[in-house]
Amino acid sequence: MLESIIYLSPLIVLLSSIFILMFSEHNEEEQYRCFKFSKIMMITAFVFTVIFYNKPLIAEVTSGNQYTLLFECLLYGGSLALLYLSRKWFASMGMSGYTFCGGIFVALLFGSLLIRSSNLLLSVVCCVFMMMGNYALLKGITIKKEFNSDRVYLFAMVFCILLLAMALLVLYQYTDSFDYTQIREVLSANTRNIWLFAAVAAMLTVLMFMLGLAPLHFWFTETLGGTVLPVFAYFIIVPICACWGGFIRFNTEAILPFSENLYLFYKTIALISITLGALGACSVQNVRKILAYGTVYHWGIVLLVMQSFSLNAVNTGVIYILVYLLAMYGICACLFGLKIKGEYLFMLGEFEGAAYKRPYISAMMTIFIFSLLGIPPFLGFFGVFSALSYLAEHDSFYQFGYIMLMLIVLSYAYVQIIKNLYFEKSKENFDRADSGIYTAVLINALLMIVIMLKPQYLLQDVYKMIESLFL
Amino acid sequence: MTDIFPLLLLLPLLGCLFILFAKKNDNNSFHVVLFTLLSNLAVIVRLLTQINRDNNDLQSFHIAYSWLESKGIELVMDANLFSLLVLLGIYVAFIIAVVGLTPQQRKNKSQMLLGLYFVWNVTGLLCANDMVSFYIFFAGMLIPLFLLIGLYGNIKKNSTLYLFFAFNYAGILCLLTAMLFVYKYHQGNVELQDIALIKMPAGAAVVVWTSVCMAFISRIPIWPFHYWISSINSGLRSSLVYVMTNMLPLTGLYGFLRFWQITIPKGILPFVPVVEIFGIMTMLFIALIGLSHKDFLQKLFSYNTVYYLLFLLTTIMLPEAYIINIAYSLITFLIVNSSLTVLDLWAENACEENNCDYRGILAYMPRLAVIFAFFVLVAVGLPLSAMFWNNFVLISAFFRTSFTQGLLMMIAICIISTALLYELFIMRDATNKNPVIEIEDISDTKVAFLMAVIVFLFVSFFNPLWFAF
Repeated sequence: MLESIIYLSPLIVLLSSIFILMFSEHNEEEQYRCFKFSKIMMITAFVFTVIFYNKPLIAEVTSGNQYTLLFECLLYGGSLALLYLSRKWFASMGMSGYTFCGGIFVALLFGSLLIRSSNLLLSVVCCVFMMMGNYALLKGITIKKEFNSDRVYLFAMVFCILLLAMALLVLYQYTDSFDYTQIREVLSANTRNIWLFAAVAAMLTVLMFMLGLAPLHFWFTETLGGTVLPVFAYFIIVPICACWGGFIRFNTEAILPFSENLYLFYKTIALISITLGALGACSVQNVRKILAYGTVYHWGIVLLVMQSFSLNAVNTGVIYILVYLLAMYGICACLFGLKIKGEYLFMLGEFEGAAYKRPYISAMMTIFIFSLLGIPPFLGFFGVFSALSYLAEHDSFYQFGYIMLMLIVLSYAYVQIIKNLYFEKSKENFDRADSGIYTAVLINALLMIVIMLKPQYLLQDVYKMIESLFL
Repeated sequence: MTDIFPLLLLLPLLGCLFILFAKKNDNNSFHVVLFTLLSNLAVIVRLLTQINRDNNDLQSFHIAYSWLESKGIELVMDANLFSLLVLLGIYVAFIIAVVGLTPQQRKNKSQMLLGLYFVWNVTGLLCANDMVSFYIFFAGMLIPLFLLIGLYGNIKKNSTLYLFFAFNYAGILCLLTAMLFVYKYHQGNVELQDIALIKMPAGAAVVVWTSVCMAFISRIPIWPFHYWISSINSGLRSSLVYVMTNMLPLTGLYGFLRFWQITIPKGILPFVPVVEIFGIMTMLFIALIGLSHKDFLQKLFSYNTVYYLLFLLTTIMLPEAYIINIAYSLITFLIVNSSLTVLDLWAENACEENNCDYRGILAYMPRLAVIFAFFVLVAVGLPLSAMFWNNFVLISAFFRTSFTQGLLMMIAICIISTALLYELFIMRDATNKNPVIEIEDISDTKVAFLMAVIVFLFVSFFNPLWFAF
């Protein structure tokens, strides 16, 4: 009994943090204390998570291994970094950070549960709560009301909950259990059952909606284009880790017998994501939207690579995700460092001449963007190399060529950002960036350099961690 | 023997680090760049002296770095006589370009940093001996060049800049395709000279070699890809950036040289005549364009293109033995090209400062005029440097192979030489006297520096490697 409670300690810490933040006085003067408290609690929960990584949080519905540890590390690492970056934002905007910190804790709580879940009901509950947490963040922290992103998200969320309910009902009808192993057995015996296929597809659709994959990307790009910077960074970094963790686990543990039936489904979604991501990025002037569309493109590649959900496929996909997250975290840090008269930047035109006023931040942002384009010697090359060599090895030559073509299209959008940073004359005075931003960017850059010089660290360790999912 | 070889790659990187932390708006970055270039030049000369000249094999210096053991990727750097000779030309050309910068440009930290980073990439490319490291350096040089052209290229149209990026990026992706296909069939990284030996299906071989050709052709201004490079050249007014831009076709040429060391791969054999025809036609076409241009730097760009195409066709059409002649020619070619760029920019600056006409400017700057005339005469192929002998050998070999092709090449070279000589005439033509009476000539230091370059070139006429052996 005591043992079970100890194993639950990460959840207890996270849950108590949410309640403390909910019921504490939302005072702007208490900003510093709120972020400090969140940081301490998050580190505590993280330490407990690492210590008890292979113990079940909740017996029989969760299980932990090195794979879950990898995604939980990403989740906590991203959240801590986000907390570090956002503190100054809330201070400078004079806004309360309680809702934001609470939102991150909700994502951490249900995200880590989703990653560790081996039960469909728990996964569905986690998805619903994560979506509600996201909605609360969108609703709670806004400055401009140009686009009703929260309302769009609400409608989509309700639709997703209906889909999840349908998936649960159908799968329970056939399996009499929500356990992944049971579901897998039933699916392997009924690979041609159309109702089971529909239920699985519904579940996957919701996960893909949360990841922002096309054609369900509308909320992702619109929301990220209009929301405030901390929420943008949150959506780009935090829920993504949990969703990919849960998505991969669901595919490998529960629905692997269906993988052949899902090939076409995944391939279509991936190719649509790649196309819409690349074309969408070129069609907008809002930098956050460009990055959001870019994300859709990159997730398309990850899905295309992982469609068979074999060990090598998942390993390649996860490496791509890691490389992407590092570059994206760097870009977010740079965006936190660029502001004019206290206003953080949205549109391409606002970035004009930033390199003359903030040369180091602009240079780093350029490096991270080139990294996303896969140009060596930056780390992004490693992601592109892994993904494309995997496709070439498996004779997926058309997909290989299509990714390349769309990468050239996407490069137009990224080059526009660099062009505005460097090749336009500066009209505005950029505010002085906080030293914390430089520290964050520097740490990120150092991490990328170390991994690029010794990619063995990334490859071998990640491979071992992913392997635990298939044992 | 290989003790100092790694310095070639380390010094530019160290230089970049120093510049990164150097003060803004002072000459520190300039001094770091100059020091790095001179140090590496000394390393190259030292390495050249250690090569046994009598040995017909291109002896080499070799280092390897185990980058990704699990995927069988070991990065191998290897400098042989050919690459060291080309590097020598490149470094001297860069030193001339850096010395040619205006005092204002010397204080420009970003230009210095990106320039040195480009030099690091070029050095890496010429020393790369395996597919992955070759790709890394080949792709890496796009970033500094793109940023420098965007910053100092005075490009008005957004589309021109993007097209430059897109063409080069597409080229990079083509090489990546070839690399991944080779990786697929070899199950690991492969040394460049072994690529042609890898067994792969006929279709895959066509993909690999077509991709390789596209990757390198994207950097050589061969028709119909010539537009982007000529369009970015027109606005460049920094000698360093101009020399860098003109170094880009060299990387494409070097790619062909390294990948086709032994023989033309079977996969691409049916397309070779097409490349030959396009190459010769482009030579003629670009030479005529050069003749019609009124800007000297545009004429110089045409001159560069014609010669790069001559070297490219030598690689494709002539036996392997002629490769070393390309290297000897390239040393002089790169130095002359860089010197003419610097001298023309000095003349243009003098015109701007004194608000006078460009026509006849050399009549007022006698020291500049003598030096300028020497370099133009070397460029057009008079017996003043090693370029004369080596071009003579190459062109006579073309005549032996195919009289028509040799003749057409000779016509192209004559046209572009006429263009340069005519420009020299224009610049020395004092019939339209400028209103100004006195224009300050180039300084003693600059004259001394350029005289040293002239002596270097002239002695090479008698012994191309006099400084090493």
